[in-house]
Amino acid sequence: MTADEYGADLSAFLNEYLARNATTSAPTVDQGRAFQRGLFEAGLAGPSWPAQYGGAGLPSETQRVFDTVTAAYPVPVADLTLSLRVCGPAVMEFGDEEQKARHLAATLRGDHVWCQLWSEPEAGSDLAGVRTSAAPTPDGGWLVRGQKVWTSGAHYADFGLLLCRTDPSAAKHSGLSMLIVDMRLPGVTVRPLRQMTGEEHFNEVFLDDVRLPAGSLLGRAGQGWQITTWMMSRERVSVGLGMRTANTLSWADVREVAERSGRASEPAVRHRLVELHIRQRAAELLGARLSQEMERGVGNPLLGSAAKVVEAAVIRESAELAVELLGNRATAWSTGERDGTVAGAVLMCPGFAIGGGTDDIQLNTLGEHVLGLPREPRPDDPGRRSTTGRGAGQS
Amino acid sequence: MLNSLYLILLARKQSAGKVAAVDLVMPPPPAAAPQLLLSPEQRELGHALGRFTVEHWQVRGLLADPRPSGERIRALWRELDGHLGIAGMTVPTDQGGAGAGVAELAVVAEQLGRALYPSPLLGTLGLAVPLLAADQRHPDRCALLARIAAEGLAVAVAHSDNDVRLAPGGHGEPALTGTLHLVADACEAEQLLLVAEDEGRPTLFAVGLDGPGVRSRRLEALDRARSYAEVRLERAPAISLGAVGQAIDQALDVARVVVAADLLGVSGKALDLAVEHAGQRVQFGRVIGSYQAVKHRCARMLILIEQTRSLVRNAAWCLDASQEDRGGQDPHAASLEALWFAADTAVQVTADLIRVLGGVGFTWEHEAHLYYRRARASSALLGTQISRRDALAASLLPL
Repeated sequence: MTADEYGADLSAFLNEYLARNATTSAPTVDQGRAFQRGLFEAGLAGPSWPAQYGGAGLPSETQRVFDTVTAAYPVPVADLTLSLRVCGPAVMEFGDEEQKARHLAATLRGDHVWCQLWSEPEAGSDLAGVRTSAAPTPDGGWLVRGQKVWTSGAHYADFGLLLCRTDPSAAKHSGLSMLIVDMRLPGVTVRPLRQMTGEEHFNEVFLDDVRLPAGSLLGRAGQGWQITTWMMSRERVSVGLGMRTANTLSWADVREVAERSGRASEPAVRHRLVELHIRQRAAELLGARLSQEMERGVGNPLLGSAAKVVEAAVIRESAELAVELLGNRATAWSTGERDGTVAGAVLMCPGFAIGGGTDDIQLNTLGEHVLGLPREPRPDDPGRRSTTGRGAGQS
Repeated sequence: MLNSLYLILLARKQSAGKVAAVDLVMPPPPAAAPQLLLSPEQRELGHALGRFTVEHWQVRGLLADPRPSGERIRALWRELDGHLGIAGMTVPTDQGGAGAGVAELAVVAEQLGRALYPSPLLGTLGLAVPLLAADQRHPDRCALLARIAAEGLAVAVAHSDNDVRLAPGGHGEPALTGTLHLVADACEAEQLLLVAEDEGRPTLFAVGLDGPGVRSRRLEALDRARSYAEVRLERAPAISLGAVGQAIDQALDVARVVVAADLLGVSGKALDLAVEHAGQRVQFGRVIGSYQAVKHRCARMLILIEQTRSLVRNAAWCLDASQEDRGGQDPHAASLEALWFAADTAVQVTADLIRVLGGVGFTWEHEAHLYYRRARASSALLGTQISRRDALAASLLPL
């Protein structure tokens, strides 16, 4: 199958599936699982994943076809994207054959949905400071104790990738490992946290003497930080890519707000709409370029931090302009009225500049690991200097 | 970890619900995704240009008075052409050129911008070649294209409004009279292309700049690496190259990408200089680049530059792609977006460089101001930020 044929088959599938299953409310994770299963059964899931793991086995560029085609449809797989774009690929990259056989096809089929058990109350921006511990047990498994926080999707995830300390005597970054956790094991308690938007999408996760079976270690002991940074770059690039359709308020939404407000012909409004359009295009094309680099394995994956920062900025500018256009109609509305969506967008904005690492931490990453500027002196790691040179723009 | 991808997709989920509620119509057929990576050959072209400029040009030469003369810039252009065959790169193969695309041209422009290598690249390859190549049935156009490819003929194009008209009388060769107040690249150029009315129809003419009836006067300029001249024509013999049609708009799209790529190079060099300084200068006992105030400034420069790079590659791809491949993308809008963002970035980033350098950055001896000058002046080439914004508004938000 060529990439073009794949794109045509995918379009046909989407037209047919979404005509049968169109929903007016926000899709649930179960709708996402059902959609993904349909895609899998049609042989269209995971275009560039190897066939032995349930993928379509097509060249890596086919992923781009997938992104372009699906961008035009309201596909209900939001809850699965972290699994499909970040966690599944991490198992493919670092897992052993047994882990791949167990998880990859199941992930692609929507049966295994993942979360990242990473941040802790005392380890946020300083993620490598996680304290959750895992000690080896005589049966080759692990005994896990600790607490995680801000875990998106933990309330519906089947599995988690747990960043934890397996060697308390090793230096900060080298004592970490990544473990696969079945979220239904005894001792795993998920408690939802209410966000400032009023919704509950992230969680506290308590891990009280959770016994993991043998075969739970992803990669090697001590490889946890490397796997984390690998996953982070993929996540940030995916965020940039998500821009195209996943804007809280897309440019088209803001233009529609402008028309509705009757102010679309005011020069000052046109001026701001055009600048917003350019900034959105810039964010979108940076994301698209970095995702092409990722497919080809060229460029510096840490540039994903740039995509994430601009993504958050464009989302905020869109919401701000929408409020400017609607005035107080954006701040008080009748139940169910369209203008109410603007307030929802306003409330989401701060989360984008924090989630996946704050803007400030992203700027550190860019400054230190892309530009090669020295780190601030740190009490726990004196004198270590980034030696990574610039890798930007060479592809 | 609060997952940003998750948040994005949550938003998508909400908007997906919203779209589905309105209607589920057939979306437009997907276009090919833009090619935003350089091929190995394009990368190698960039490296070759980079090596050439390092070996053959010193940016500090622009600090000396007088600025490089037209003859000097012409010699630099011939030298560049002699080593790397740049002049004919986008000339169609039928006319003796290499038939390269805008993507390759942008790679060259970026490197020349980085080095502030003075050249008539904008006039010759950005404007003249696309204008001339638009009608290859015209023998005089083909002759000019062939000379560009074969001899590295330098061409300036007066693209903005002028009061030049056909001189009355005379039945043989046409002659032009009028004043072109500001023509970029005109000091080194040998030929001038301009548009004047012939029997009410906008027509492309070529005038020999070293010929009779032409008086060219070099202007003082903010940008020390580009020549600007006022050109007065007094019954200057001209060759009619036929109706100009839409070709001028298409040439301007290409030219915008050339300027945007040039500014991408300028910005990239400014960031390198800032990072170099921030990694060496010690204050309060620490290298200043270790302070987040400075580090984050550099990181923000990088973010702007990488966005510019993506927009420039997209615009070049749009101009090279067939209409079918580029789908819904409008190359005109893409070129306007790329230049608007590149200019905004370059003006910001070159000012940031001066800030990171501190007092030394404000001295004549430091080359930082050469990049700042280039950025500011180039943003006013081929229109202004406001005119580009207005043009985009006209296509994005029809009244």
